[in-house]
Amino acid sequence: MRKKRSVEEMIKTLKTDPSFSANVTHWHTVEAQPARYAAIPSSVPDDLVRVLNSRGIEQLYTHQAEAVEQTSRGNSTVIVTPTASGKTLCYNLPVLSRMIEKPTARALYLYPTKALAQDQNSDLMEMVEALEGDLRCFTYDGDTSPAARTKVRDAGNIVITNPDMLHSGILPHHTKWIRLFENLEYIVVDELHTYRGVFGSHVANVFRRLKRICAYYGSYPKWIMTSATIANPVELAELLTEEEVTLVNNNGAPQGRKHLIFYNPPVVNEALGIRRSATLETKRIASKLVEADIQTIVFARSRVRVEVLLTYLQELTRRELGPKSIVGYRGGYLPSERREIERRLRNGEIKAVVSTNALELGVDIGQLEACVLNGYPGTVASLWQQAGRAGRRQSESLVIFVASSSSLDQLVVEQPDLILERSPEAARLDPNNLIILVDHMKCAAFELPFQKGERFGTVETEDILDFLTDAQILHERANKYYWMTDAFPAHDISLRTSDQENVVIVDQTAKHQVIGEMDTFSAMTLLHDEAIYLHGAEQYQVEKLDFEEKKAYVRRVDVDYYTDANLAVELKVLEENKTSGAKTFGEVSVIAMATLFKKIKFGTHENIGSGPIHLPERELHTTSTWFTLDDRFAYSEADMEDQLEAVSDLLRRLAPLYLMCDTLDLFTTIQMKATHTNKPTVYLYDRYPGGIGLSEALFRDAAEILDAAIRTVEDCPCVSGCPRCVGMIGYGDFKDQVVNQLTALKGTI
Amino acid sequence: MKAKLSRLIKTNEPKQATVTPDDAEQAKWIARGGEILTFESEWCVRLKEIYPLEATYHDFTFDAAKRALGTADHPFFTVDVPYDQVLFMDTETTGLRGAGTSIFLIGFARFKPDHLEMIQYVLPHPAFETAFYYHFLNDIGDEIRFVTYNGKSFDWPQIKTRHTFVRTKVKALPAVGHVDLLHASRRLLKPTLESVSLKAVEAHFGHARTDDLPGFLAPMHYFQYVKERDPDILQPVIEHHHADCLSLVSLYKRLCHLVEADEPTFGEERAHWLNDLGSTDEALKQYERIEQPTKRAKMRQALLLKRTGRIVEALPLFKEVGTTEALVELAKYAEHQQKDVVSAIRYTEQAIAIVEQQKTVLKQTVQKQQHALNHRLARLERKRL
Repeated sequence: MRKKRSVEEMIKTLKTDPSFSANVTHWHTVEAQPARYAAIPSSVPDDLVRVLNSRGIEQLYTHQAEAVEQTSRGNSTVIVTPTASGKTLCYNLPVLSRMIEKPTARALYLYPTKALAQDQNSDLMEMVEALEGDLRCFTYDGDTSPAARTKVRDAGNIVITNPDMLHSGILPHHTKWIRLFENLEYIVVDELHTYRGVFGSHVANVFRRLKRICAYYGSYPKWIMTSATIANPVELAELLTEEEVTLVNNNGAPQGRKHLIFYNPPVVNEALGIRRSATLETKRIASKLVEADIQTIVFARSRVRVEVLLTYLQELTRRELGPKSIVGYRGGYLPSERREIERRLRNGEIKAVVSTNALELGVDIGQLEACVLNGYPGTVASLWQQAGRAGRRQSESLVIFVASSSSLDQLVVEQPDLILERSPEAARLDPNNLIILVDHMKCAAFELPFQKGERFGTVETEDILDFLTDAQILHERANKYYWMTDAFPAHDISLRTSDQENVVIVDQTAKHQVIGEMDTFSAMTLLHDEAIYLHGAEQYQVEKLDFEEKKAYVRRVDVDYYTDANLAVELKVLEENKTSGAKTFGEVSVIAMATLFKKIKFGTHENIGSGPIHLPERELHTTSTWFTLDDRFAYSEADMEDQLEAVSDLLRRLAPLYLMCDTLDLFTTIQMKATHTNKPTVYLYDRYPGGIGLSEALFRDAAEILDAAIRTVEDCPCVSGCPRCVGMIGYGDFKDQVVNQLTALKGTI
Repeated sequence: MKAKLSRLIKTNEPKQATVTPDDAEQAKWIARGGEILTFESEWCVRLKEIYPLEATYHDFTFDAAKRALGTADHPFFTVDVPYDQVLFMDTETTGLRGAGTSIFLIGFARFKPDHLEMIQYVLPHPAFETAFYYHFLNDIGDEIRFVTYNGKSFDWPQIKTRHTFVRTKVKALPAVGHVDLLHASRRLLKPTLESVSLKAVEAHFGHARTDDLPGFLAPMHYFQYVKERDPDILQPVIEHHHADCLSLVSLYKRLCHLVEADEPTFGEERAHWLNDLGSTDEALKQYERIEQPTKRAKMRQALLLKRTGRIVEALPLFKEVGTTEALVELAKYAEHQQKDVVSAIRYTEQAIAIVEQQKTVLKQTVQKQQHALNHRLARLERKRL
């Protein structure tokens, strides 16, 4: 039987329960913050004030008021707010205010995904309806019926869409959208922090095209953007829009006291170093919360994991009649199902929800009391976003991070200060990645001929236009460049995938279902025949990699080993762009060939078999940052090689934490005698052709990352080095060697 | 930069083209009977040919087609303007869609009192679109009807798109109407023909083209022509396009002829077509004439009867059809007209039973249907109490 207990009581119980508290590596408390209010600015028309009042809003939070003020002064803004702080008002108020004043004005709302665009719509619709005016807002995406499309184009004051649709459905057909582009005054970009990496680099170029089309029709819209907490919101906003942007970050939404608990499942097999399953521990902890009637959200990293946890937890409510009070939430559920879940979460009918990061983004589900994270979500920003789901405005809340056995998770749970003591990551992108830039200049040339000397955003275009002319894609006459092929360029360019030639992963376990995709370069080592491919938390074995057809056929398995492929990498430095001490940033060519793979047993890391890989070699041109090590700290060549391995391994594990990227976005390789210097060198390079700014950021932030590496080694309780710190079983004073090496390296830069 | 670009991006080898100068190019156009039309510094080419009305093209004289324009009484083929405002029109474009796809050839056949004229406008370079649209629009007047093949959803929208780029310098677009023969071909020939492309339809009637240029090659010819500026390169496209326009004249006459010939093979489709075109009385007449109507025909006839206030005549048809939709219609009639809730419930229950038996992959549709029916049933039950 459930017995309602408060979060405060629960905290007391957890603190005194040895089976829980013994596994807590860190207990962090964030103090409460009272609400800060400001009057509704006078720029908001009376009609709109009335609507606000009727919804019980008499005054605004400080950040909302400032967003309205800044926008009414004609500034483009980026508003940084935590989860559930009323951010939609930050853009809906200025936009609706303007439309009441000038009914012909138009606005474009961009959400990172189609689902989010539909989710956000309802709040806006309610306000628009309450205004009783002639304003119309429409969602325009792949699901919009052809009949409705004309109406959206001609009559939509507010058009809600996503970057993909803008890229392939709106901009290439801009002549059908004259009314929108002639009168566009505001562009709203929600969840700005998601526009990073390859996707962000693409979107920055879509925005260049958007601004170019607006200028053609005579409009110069202002931008209103919202972002979760990241280190560089203004930089990101300015990189994406190439506009001067004002920061609004005086969040006035109240927040109760929050407990952030780092929980490492106990070791169950000392010899093999195996910990209890994070999923079972998550289940145990979540069950306690549910039994105490504390409204809880559980985040899992994959859809499959969501379903597994859900099955466990629903056991608790087996005897319940009517709609379940414990539900799942993830992509793949019908929009109507999701709306229903959101509603029932808000009104408290649902006691627990198990979700993927789908609920991390701005869906309104109100505030829950507790949050359990099954594994580290990948970035600090994401961790705070998920943690932000718990936290009532008045009462205390509880966030429990349950670490899995992955090295990143273990790093986070063992050294929580890596996350807590530093600002969240900066979002990186490179709008001038040449491949992405050229792709979008093709789209732009299709949309409107380029003029000689015209800039594309801030980019000089002449070289690229001449290049495209030579390639017979454009044709120049009288200083204008005309599109000269019968292709529809936007069709061949996807904003989401990093490489145009991705390998599609097909699961043959049940029906042939596509479960993911991977760039060809990574596929060589991760999807070769017989490889064990980890997807979410599931193991799959690759039955066949069809490299020609770019398909990998996999089947679900349950084995006690993973595979590690040997990649023979030949790296050549093409150009050194900048050097500072022992670190250099530049361009490299990487020729890689997968040669053989080993089967490594979990826990013991022993080699239990191997096999050859037969795949053609691949070439990658990209950007890289490399570090030259000092052989003074090694007693022998073998030592030096181990040090190189250790430094490379540490940097590869730690860099993603600082660069807000996936572990697979950055590759490393080592050379005992670099061809251009003859010195031992560690290279880290962007996996995407042309680079997307990660190695450049690494060049900039190297000192901070080296610091973390030094601490990781120093703080590790082992004696001579272990896989968790130096990435291998050390010997003698190996740890000191590595620390000395890192310290010296840091000293030079 | 250049080196980096070619390192990162693979492209075709650049080719050097010999370029004909402007005046030499114009001379070549004039030599083949073209007229150079200018606008500011831009120019375009008009090609014109005259055909006597007695001439025959694909089995019909042009005169027969001209007469059909005045006498067609099937609503699809009727035009409400004088014959010289009807353009048998086609375009050639550089691609299939999007703002960057331009039209480089617009042509039409148009009747004059004693002849048929065939006119083609050629765009010598994408930079000359103002001249191209200026002269084309001045030529065609303010109120026209197009006879086309897929022109309603392709050629005309594409003209609108490109007109946007030059809209400040040329006339506004005329008021238009469409007789899109693709739709007629679908209605009349689809059951027998696998493809209803213009080519396939021509072949079906014994006029397979032999040396014709495949349509998808037209853009390539144009791109090469733009680079080298030699009209000869464009010649195959011009001929292909010329043939397309003339073919429209003949096909218009042929399809009119087919639909008026009242052949029994088209019986049911004819009724549906009239129904879709909104010719209620004509459609009902046709439905009544069908000897062995399908369920679909009965259902559509019944719905049409209902809409024209003849619900009583529709009821036996709904009963014969007996599908979910038909039963719902019966339930509605029972509930609202006869105030017979018990019968309404009976019909609804029958409908639910049918849906439950349906084996279908479209689970969502079934669920939606079930939901709606259950809702109806619940409301009826409340009403009964």
